[in-house]
This record gives sequence, C-alpha cells and structure tokens, in this order.
Amino acid sequence: MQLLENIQLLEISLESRVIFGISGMVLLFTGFLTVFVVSQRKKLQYHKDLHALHEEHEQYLMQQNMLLEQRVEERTTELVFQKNELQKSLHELNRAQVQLIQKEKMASLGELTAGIAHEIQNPLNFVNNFSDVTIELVDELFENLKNNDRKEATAVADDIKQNLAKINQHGRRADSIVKGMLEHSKVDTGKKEPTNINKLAAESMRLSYSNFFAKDSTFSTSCETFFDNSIGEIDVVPQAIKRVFFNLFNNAFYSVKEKRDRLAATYKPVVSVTTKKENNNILIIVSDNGTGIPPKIFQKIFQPFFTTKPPGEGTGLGLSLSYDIIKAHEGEISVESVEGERTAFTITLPV
Amino acid sequence: MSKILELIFDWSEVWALLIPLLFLIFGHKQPALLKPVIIYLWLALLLNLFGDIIGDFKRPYHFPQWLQSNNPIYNIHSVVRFACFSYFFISLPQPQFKTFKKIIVLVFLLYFIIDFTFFEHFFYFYHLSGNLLSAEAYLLLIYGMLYYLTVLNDDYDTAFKGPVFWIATGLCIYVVINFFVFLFYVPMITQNFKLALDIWNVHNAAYIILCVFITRALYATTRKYPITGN
Repeated sequence: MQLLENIQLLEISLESRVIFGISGMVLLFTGFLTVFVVSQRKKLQYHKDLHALHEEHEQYLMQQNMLLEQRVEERTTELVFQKNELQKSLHELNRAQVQLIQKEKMASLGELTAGIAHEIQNPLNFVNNFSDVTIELVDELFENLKNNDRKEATAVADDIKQNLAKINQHGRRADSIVKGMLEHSKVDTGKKEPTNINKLAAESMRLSYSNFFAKDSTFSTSCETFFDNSIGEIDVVPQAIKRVFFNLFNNAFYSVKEKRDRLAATYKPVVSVTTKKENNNILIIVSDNGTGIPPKIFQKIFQPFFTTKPPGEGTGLGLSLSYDIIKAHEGEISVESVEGERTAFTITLPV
Repeated sequence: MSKILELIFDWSEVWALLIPLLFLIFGHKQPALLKPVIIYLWLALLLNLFGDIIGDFKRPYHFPQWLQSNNPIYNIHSVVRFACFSYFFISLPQPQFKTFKKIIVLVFLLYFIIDFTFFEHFFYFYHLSGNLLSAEAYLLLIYGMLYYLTVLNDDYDTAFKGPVFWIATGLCIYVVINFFVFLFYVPMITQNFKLALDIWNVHNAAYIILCVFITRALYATTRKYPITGN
C-alpha cells in the first residue's frame, strides 16, 4: 500500500511530461547540432588550412621550378658557348696538326734535298772534269788528224770514248738520284704496289747518310746491311714505307752523331739494317749503337709531338707518323734499347 | 489585438508555406534534387488551406457533416510529408544507408497498416492520429540523423552551407519539437483542452521554422555551393 502511494507521488502530470519531453528533445538536438556545426567548422578550417598549405607548396614548387628552369637555361647557354668554343679549338687544333704534318713532310724533304744535292755533286764533278778533259782530247785528236798521225789519233779517240763512257755512267747515276728524289717527293697515292724492301731500305739509308754528311763533312759512320734476298717484293705503299725508313735512319744517324760528339775518337759508330723473313712476316730491323733511349721516355716516343731534339731540329711527328703508317699496313713497330749503348727498331710487315 | 495575433498564428500553417513558395515563383529554377520538397510545399499548402478553412469556417457556413473536422487532413498531411521527405532523403547522392532508408519506408508502411487496421480509424473525426504523427516524426528524425552521420563521415567542407543541410535541419527541428506534441496530443485533448490548444501553437511555430529553413535552402542553391548530398 505504501509502495503504491510512493508510485503515485512519483507520477508526473501530462503537462509536465509534454514540456519535459519537448525541452529534452530540443536540448538534445541543440547540443547535437552545435557539436555538428563545430565539427563541420573545424573540418572547414582544416580544409582551408590544407588548401592554403597546398597552395603554398604549389607556389614554392612553382618558384623552384622556375629557378631550376632558369638555371638549366643558363647552364645550357653556358654549355652551348663552351661547345662552340671547344669546336673552334678543335678546328684550330686540326688545322695546326695538318700544318705540323705538312711541316714535318717539308722538313723531311728539306733534309732529303740536302743529301741529294751532295749525292748529285759527285757525279756532276765527274761529268764536268771528264767533259773538260774530253774537250782537250778532241782538240788533240783534230791536231793528230791534221798531221795524219793515225795511230796517235786512234789512241786519243779511245781515251775520248772511255771519258764519254764515264760521263754517261755518272750522268746515269745523277739521273737515278734525281729519280729517287722525285720518288720521295711524289704525292702519297696510298696505293700498294709490289716493292723491293731491301732496295728501298738501302736507298733510304744512303740518302739519310748523305743528308748528315752534307751537313757535317766530318761525319762518318759504318753503314751495314744484312739483307735477306729471299723476301723478294711485297705489297706496300712505297712512299709511305720509305718515309718510315728515312725517319728511322735519321734518328739512328742523329743518335750516333750525338754519341760521337761526346766520346770523340774512342767511339766507332755503326748503323745497320737487317731484313729477314719469319713465318708469314717480314722483319726489318734498324739498329744503331748510339745514345739509346732512356727508360722514362720509352712509352712516349710514339706519341705525336714528343721529341728529345732541341727546338727547331725536330717536330716530334716522325715516329708518330711512322707508327701510323705501319699500323695502316697491318704491321707492328717495336723498339728495344739500352740507354747509352744501342737502339733497335723492328718493323714487322705481313707478306 | 490578441485575437488578430491568434488568427495570424492559427493560419501560420498556410502563410508560412507562402514564404518558400513565393521564393520559388519569383526566384530562380531549383535543381531536380529538391523536387520532392517543392511538391510537398504545394501539397502542404493545399492541405493546410483546406484544413484551416474547415477549422475556421465549418460552423458559420454550415459545412456538411463530412467536412465538420479537419483531423483526417492532418493524417493525410502526415503521410504526404513522410512520402515526400523519404523520397528526398533516399534520392540524395549519398551511397551510405541507402538500404536502411528504404527499410524505414517499409517500417512506416507496416506501422500504418497495423495501426489503422487494428487500433485507429484514418478518418476519425474527433482527433488526429497521434500515433501516426509521432511515428512519422520519429522516422523523419532518423532520416535527419542518418544525413548528419553521413556528412560527418564525408570529407566535404560545404555541408552546412548547402541546401540539403538547411532542409534536414529545418525538418529535424520541426520533428524534435513536435514528437512529444504528437505523442501526447490525444490525451491532452481529453485531459487539458486549453493546454492542447496552446501546445498546438508550439507546433505552428516549429512549422514556421521549417518553412524558413526550406526557404533558406532554396536560397542556398543560388550560391556557389554545389548541389550534393551535403
């Protein structure tokens, strides 16, 4: 009974229920809506911040891009300029190289010409002397014919004939020397033709020696040839190979001359050339007992423009060109040397 | 003076609807998404006008017997409102809770059938169906809560500036205030008729708020905010 009374006391009137209900619902919903709006505003602010950050990043990226593009452009311009400068330098270098090669050829020709001039001088002296004597003999012959001295006239005629033969002989020698010079100065056609290597080597040795002798009449050396006649003729570009031989002999004679100048009487200079056949190759060895090559420059001797000669005496292209010529013939060139004692260049050419 | 104010308040269910409708007539074209709301506005105007005419003029003009009560009109209004706003919430481009929203419709239909088959009469003259209206308010509130839940989970930041937000909020305010009004309206009529009349003014005030929020929603579509689920 007491419990029922308590329940009746707790009973809420309808009006209160309606008012509490409405108020409660409105309060709950207002609270919810407030939370919702605050949350959305926070979301909006977050998106705004994110957008601002994104824009800031984009702007920074754009600035960096522009800076990078500018740098790339500057660097490209710089590189283009450097490239042009390098091309210009390369062009000038090529031109200089061509000029130097030409100079080397001209120097080689000049040295050869000196040797040839000396070579020609001898037969010319003979021709002049014998022709002078012959003129006198012809006068004597006319006189003997006038005196009807037939026996004496016949003797004089025999002398004239002998003189003319000698003039002819020395004339032919001069002719062969001039032909040799022309051969040397002939433009390199690059065409291979059967060539007698022994003959080419001997001729080059003689011309080179004459060149040194023309410059210094006291110069004297023993020239030795050890030719293997079985090698016959092989296909090479003669002008090119002759230039190689001439360079090697020039170096050999220069070396022995240098040593002779230092050692004087105690030294006996020897330059030799040896040819031989080995398997399918021909070996040509040019050796001397000159100053030799110091080991520290051994690796450099075939480099272009490398020379140990004083300025004005060598271009430093001789051995480099020789190396290129031998390589073009699919051959090999090597050197052995003992400083102060000897040097030997070995050329290997395929048959 | 108080009589005039009372009259204005009594007819608020009609003139409040004119605010969004005038905006619709003289304003710009509204997006298809708001079509169910616009249909509701027109139907509600007709129903409320009809209901208020019956309420205020049945006696002086001696309306026929079947027009002596506007209570069935409120029942019809309730069904129309639920139908229109259900369609509106289901049509929103929000993939979440689609099935759940459709289940709400089924629940309402089931409740409607059971209530009016076994417990009440739809065209009952003496009072409106408190069960129907409170159930409708409850289910519409669920729609509103589902909307807020979806928006909270979304990344969109224009949610509370878009038209859907204003409609959902207006509707929620209306049903939140009126849930207990509808729930206790029938007992109040029998126990405290004066209070029932006064409480109905609360309903009218909530209805004005709903119309103002709908107008705000119609205005929001003119702004730059996209017509999305938010």
